[in-house]
This record gives sequence, C-alpha cells and structure tokens, in this order.
Amino acid sequence: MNTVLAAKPDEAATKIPLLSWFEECTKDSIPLVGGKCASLGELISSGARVPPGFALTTAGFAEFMRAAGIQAEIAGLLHGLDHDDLDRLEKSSAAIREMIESRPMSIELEDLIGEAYRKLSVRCCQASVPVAIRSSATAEDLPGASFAGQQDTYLWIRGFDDVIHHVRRCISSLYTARAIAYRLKMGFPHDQVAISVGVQKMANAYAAGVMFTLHPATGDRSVIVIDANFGFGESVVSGEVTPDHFVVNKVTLDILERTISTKLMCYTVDPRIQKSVATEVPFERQSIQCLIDDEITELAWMAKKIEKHYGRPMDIEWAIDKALPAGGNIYILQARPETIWSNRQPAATATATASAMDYIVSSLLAGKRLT
Amino acid sequence: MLVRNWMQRNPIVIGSDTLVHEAKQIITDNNLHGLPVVDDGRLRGLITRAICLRAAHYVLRTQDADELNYFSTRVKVKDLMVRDPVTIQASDTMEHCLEVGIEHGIGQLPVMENGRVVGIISANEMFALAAHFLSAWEKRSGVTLAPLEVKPGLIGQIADIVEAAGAELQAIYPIGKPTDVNPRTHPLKRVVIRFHSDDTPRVAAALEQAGFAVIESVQAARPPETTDTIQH
Repeated sequence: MNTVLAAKPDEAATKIPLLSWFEECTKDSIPLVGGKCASLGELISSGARVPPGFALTTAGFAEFMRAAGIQAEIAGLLHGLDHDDLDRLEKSSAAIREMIESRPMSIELEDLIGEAYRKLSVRCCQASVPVAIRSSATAEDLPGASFAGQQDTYLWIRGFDDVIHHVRRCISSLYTARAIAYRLKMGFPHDQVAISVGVQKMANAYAAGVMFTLHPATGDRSVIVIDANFGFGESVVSGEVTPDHFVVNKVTLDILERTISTKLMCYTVDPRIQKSVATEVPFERQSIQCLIDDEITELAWMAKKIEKHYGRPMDIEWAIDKALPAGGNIYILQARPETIWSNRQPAATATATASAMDYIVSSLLAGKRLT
Repeated sequence: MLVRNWMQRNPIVIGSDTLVHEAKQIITDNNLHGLPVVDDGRLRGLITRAICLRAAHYVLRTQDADELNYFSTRVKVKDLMVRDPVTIQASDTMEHCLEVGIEHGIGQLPVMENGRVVGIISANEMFALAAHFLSAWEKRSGVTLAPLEVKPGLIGQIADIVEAAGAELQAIYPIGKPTDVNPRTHPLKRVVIRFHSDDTPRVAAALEQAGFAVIESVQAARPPETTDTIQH
C-alpha cells in the first residue's frame, strides 16, 4: 500500500504522510500515529494476526485543524480558563467539541480517508467494512499523561459518512473537559497537543477478551492468564461482566485452572441496525465456557510469541472472529507492556542465611533477569 | 484528433448520496461502464459496473439476509466509488488518452473542461475510435510485413509496390512496441498495409519479390461482382 503524502510541492523534502497504513507503522512511529496504532504496526511486523487498518496521522490531524480554520476560536474559548472551574471547563469543552464535530472536512482529507476506507473494504472483501475507530494519543506512554481521551473507541462503524463523523468525534476528544483541565494543570500548551485516529477492520467477535503473559495477581511469569466473554472485548475490558478465567502453563500450554462464571451480558452487533449493542447472553449460554480448549491453547501460544517479540510481559487484547475458519480465526487487537509487575523490584527470594543451594533453587523458581 | 471530438458528450452523472443499487440500475439501463460522481458541480469520484458487481458479490457470498438488506438499503455510492479518479482534458489528444488508460489499466476516463465533467471516454468510445481508424465496415484486404526499420522513403516504396500490383492502397500503419519511445532510433516495426483488391496474393507476391517478408495476408470479401475467392 502506498503512503499518501501531503501534496504541497514546497514540502517535498519533509513530506509527512497524512495517512498511514498500520503495516507501515513501527514502535518508532508514536509521534506520527500515537501509541495504539504504532503498537499495532509493531504487532503486524512481529507476525501476529491483526485486523488491517490505517491511521489518520498527527499531520493529518494538523491538516484537519488548519482546514477547519477554528484554531483561533478554540484558543479564544480556552483563554483564561482555570482547571478548577469545572462549569466553565465543561461549557468551553462542549462548545469546542460541537465546533469540531459540525465543521465539514476538507475535500482533500475526506478523499484521503474515503479512499483508504474503500481500499480497506476491498481488502476485507466486504461492501463498506465495519470498522472500529479509536483515538491514538501520542503522549499515552508518558507517565500519568493519560489525558488525551484515548479511551474513545467507537465500535462497528459502517459506511463513509459514519466513518468521517466518528473520526471527527475522536479528534474532538482532545478537548474533553478532563483533557483541558489536565493540560492546564500540567502547563501543556493547547496548540501543541496532537492526536491520531486509527480506523481498523472490526473483528466480528464471537468471543473476546484480554490475556496477560504473567499472572496479574501474583506476578508469576510461568503462566498465561486469559479472561474471556462472548461478543466484543469491551465487556471484559470495562469490567461489566465477570469473565471466564483461564490459567495456562506457558511452557506446556496445558490449561491449569478454569473458572467458568455466569456471563449475563455481552456487546455484539445488531445485524438489523448494524450497530454495536449491549445485549443479554441467552440463558443456555450464560454458564458455559465461551472458548473451546483448542482456542485457549492457540491464544496462549500467540501470547507467548508476542511476549518473545517484545521481550517483556504483555497485556494483550484479542478476539475470535465468527467469519473466519477455525484455526485461523484469532485476531490480536492490541498489545501493551504489562506495567504493574514489570515496574516492581523483584523481591528477595532467599533469606540471607540460606545455603547456596537454596539460593540457586529459589532463583530458578522466581526467574532471573538476564539483562 | 482531440478527446473533445471522440468523447461521449454530456454523460449521465450521479450524486455521491445515491444508493448503490440505484446507481447500478442506471448503469444497466443505459448500458454504461461507469458513472462519474458529481456533487455540487465538482467531480468527486467514479463508480463503475465492476465496482458494483464486486460489492454485490461480496454481499451475496455471505448468504446473510441482514447483510443483503444493508447493502440494498444503506450502502451509498460514496462508500464504494473510487475517489480522485484519473481524468483527461477535453483538449488532450486521443493518443494521450490511450496512453493514460494503458498506464493506469483503466477503461473509464471522465473528460474535464474548466473543472467540470463534459464527457466520458469508455470502452465504447475506444471501440468507435479503433473501428474508424481501420474502417472496419469497409472490409479492406490486407498484408502485414515482418518488423522493419521504418526509415524515410520506405513507406513510399511500399505504396508504389502495392499500387503497381493493382490494389487501391488505403492505409499503411507501422506498429512498434510500447517500449520503443524514441522514433529517432528507427526501432523495428511491423508494417500493416490495408487496400482494396480482389487479388491479395498478387500484392503479397509483389512485396516478397521486392524483398519484404510477409507474415499475414487477408483477402476481404467484397460486395462487387467477383466474390468467388474468399480467404481468411
């Protein structure tokens, strides 16, 4: 796929793409496409099965703001705000978001996104493929800098008009009251923040969830822990249901532990209106395991490969697609380094008075850092 | 030989909010290959019969009633159309138009003038162009010579031989390869000769006697009295 370049001839030397396909992104593309999309690019290059898609880059975002010609108005609305004055913050935020979401996009940018969406649809062999649209913040990885509205995710968006509308909504999430307040407090200038928007083929998930390549409760790196529910992964990520819980041995891929819970609801698509809806899980399915054992094993195997690629414990989002044949139906949707246990200093595993053999055995049990 | 004089004028255009199944109906009813998509006088895209059929194929393959319903009631031209399509100007030559079509491997070219769509060149127009060039309805006889270096004087020499053999010469077309872009190097070209004659073998023999290698010889059936020798 071609990277579509900014068309200004005088910028020939420093052309920054307004749009970038995920496979062109690597972990070094964070300033361009944000953390989320960069990690998807990195996953694709690691060989994981990731739904295809593209990102409107931060350059594309800048072009959007320039073409909309609303920077001055936004600056005016933000002027003199105080991060404690919640009423005014909310009011300004609503005005700005309304402005961003109502302005028509420039024809050039619309064509860029439209053409990429068309190519994506052809690639997925669908007439206007359903996509997930999510903002991808460039500062996501800064400690405590989770301000840029990167929680914004719109599922099962179909058709050009809806895609453009939700891309705009993702852009406007840069100006939520919370984000503005945070920037005021931390002294970030408003005109220097940037956001990227990812448009990714929606996995038609039968079941989905998250997995960790270490035990989140104990930090045990010898296991992979999988949480799963029917439908899209959002119900697991948001904690709205108690998911099925599996613990898999990382070496032998045996399922060591399984907890089947009563899953009352899930998010799935209503095929009639073509929208993502929260729905009740049919009674007869509520308390059965939502994955078959083969899928659990394959998930664990994929998690192992991803952990190997990154060289550190990972937190992975995945989905099992209804439309794909068994054996090739697992999609990896997101992978980020696990932060809680990885940042913790390894505790002493042997007491000072123990023998040399105790020390060796205990360090074998706990795993030893090589680097 | 300008695009203006060969294009289909005032083509049917549609807006990008049209449903795809309506667009397909217009394409089918008018036996078209593609429709320029125009919003507020501005060309925004091109939707072709092939695009519509491909999308319909994707939908039918799912065998899903909801998907079919979505396709026929919700999918718009703007979801499927090719954006920023390749265009040509009405003032361009047909040679340029052919070159553009071959370069991009496309068969539909909206024709622009002052930023507006004034015509379209599609396979129909290309057939018309080729038919006119070869006077397909005239039923000419013909001989093709093996590749030659077409240098000054050669065409005249061939013309003299053909006419001396009793034929009414109509046209001589040297045909080179698309890679031979520099005419100064005299690249090898086959020479296609078209004429009216009831005795093509005599023309071919005369050319061979003059040292040309004949690789094709076609005797056309002609309406007049002598219709006894028909060769193909």
